[in-house]
Amino acid sequence: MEQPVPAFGYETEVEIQHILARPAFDELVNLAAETCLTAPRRMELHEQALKTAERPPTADAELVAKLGLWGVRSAHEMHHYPDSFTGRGGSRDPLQEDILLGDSSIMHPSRFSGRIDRDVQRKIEAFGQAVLDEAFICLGEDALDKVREYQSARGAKQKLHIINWLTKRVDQIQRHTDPRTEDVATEAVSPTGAGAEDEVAKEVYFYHPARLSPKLIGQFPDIEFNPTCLGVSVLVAAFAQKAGIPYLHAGVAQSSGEASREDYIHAIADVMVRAMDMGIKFPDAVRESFADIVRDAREELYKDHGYHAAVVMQITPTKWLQIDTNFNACRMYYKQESLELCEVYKTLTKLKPVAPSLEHMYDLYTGMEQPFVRMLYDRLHEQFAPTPEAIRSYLLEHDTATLAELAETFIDPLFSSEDNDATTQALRLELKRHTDGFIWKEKPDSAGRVPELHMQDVIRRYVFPDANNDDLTASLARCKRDPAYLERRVEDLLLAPLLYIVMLTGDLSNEAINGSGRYSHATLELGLPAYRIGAAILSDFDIYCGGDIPASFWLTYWPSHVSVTERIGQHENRPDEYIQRNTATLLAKTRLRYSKSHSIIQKFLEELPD
Amino acid sequence: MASEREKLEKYISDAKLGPVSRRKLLKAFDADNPSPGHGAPNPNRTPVKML
Repeated sequence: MEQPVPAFGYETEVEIQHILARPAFDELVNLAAETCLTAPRRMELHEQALKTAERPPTADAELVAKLGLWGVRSAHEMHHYPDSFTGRGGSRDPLQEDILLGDSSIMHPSRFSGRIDRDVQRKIEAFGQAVLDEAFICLGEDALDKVREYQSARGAKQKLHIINWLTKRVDQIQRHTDPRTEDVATEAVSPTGAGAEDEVAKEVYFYHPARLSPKLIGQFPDIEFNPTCLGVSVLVAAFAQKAGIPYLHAGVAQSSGEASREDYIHAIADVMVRAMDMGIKFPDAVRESFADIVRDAREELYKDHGYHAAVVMQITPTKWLQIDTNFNACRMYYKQESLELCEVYKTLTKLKPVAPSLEHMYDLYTGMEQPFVRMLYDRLHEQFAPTPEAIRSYLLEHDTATLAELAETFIDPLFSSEDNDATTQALRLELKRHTDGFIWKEKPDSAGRVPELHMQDVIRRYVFPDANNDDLTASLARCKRDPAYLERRVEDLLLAPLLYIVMLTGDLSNEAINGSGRYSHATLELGLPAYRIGAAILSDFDIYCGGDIPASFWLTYWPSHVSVTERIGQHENRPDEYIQRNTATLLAKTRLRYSKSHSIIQKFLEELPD
Repeated sequence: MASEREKLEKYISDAKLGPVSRRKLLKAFDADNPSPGHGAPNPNRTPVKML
């Protein structure tokens, strides 16, 4: 991954560039403070407090100095996710070995960032802290009582009650001046309403950094402007900060919907491989349909919809919550997920004195639909695996059958077994979830679609398009007098369970995409709140109102993937380009990145001169 | 009825801000900006295509 080193002395050039950027940075902080804070001087108090709290360097400081922030975060991410540089289930990448062996360009921090000036870091964190103070005021006069209630609450249930109040209040603030009326909102969630929602979003949510300003947003119920998604996350964070709740601020690297699109693509690839293994040929129409589906899913996955933010907070030692009112994605994590979040929180908190800007990817994604689909594959192979002979016999032995009966012969063996093993139990449970309407609940466009119906769809469209409604009598009769027809049907029926799995995966993906499943986000980029919020807001102000600060400055002071992709290609000179190139290459190598980053980074790296 | 943008422009024009900050904030409305920033108010709800 190492790139050609530019001319001698690039580190000095970067340092000079950063020193020259200081006036622009100070001006940016002043602009953001004046816009966001009623009393900008309060920021100075926080700055002073941070300075006073500083301690002499520790062993952690040596580690950070040696590896740099990008190196430290990569090492931590690899520790938590050994496959982070390989892809799910992929082979190990030499880069990972290099890092683990300590012989890689990532061991040279100056190739990814400049020297850190603690004064700049303090300003960013103090600004974030002051924004949190100000944002608390937005929550309304009764917010302080709710903080006290939370602090005296006993047990998770009481605390959740207050958190529900918080999410409701934030939602009220968010919608207070939202011109989307109930009517428009209803249209936006109609079966074909995705486009309508986009149109509304374009019209209403034009982006301006002032929407991040708690000072301009106002105090509930007198809300002047609804905040952006980052502004909303700051409101939630402000409550957690005031109540002393352990929490982290998050960039949503991959939402559940995005993960589902990726899953769908993987499912189709899997089906094609499995079909090849089974010696089954795809009809041209199916192959073309797969290509179209994958192309479309990729396009949507890599679309740049902007960055999104959320908050995760701990309400008991083993319970963490994800709060994201924007995406209708507020949920409690499972115990194991919560324990992993505890680890990330501990790591970031421990390193705060020496690396307050450190970020960490949290990948809790184990798949919403994948386990289910994987179980179906396994069952298909291990216990079901219809053979051409068995299918041929069925078609020759039956004179009459309905689509439903034929579908059942395929579905039943998938979901039932004489062994009451764990897989069978899990599949039965999943089937119950689907048929009870848990998955398809309140979904007008596919209400009532249960797995059996998917299989009927497949058989009707891909095996017996000549069937007379649901009656297969004529088709079965033809099987007996037309050997060529029979053989084609045998081949099509071998393919049917695989097509069924694709259809089911697609349906489950759409459940995650339309938000009715309230899934957790798949991958989050986590950071300590005050610093992350300060950096994110300043970065947005710089993008819209400044732009005089070099990209390498942001890569140094906010080692987030956002810093890489937000200013990609906007390098001032060779050293700046060199640092951008290295960080972009690092991101290109890891699977733990923002969905939208893929195409941005790929384009940047392809267009770079050698 | 004023659009959200017009309302925000007026608000910034009238807000207690220094002249430099005000000018920069107003200029931001017409920023020729390749990045949408933290501006993802809604998730991408476009469904995947079905078989």
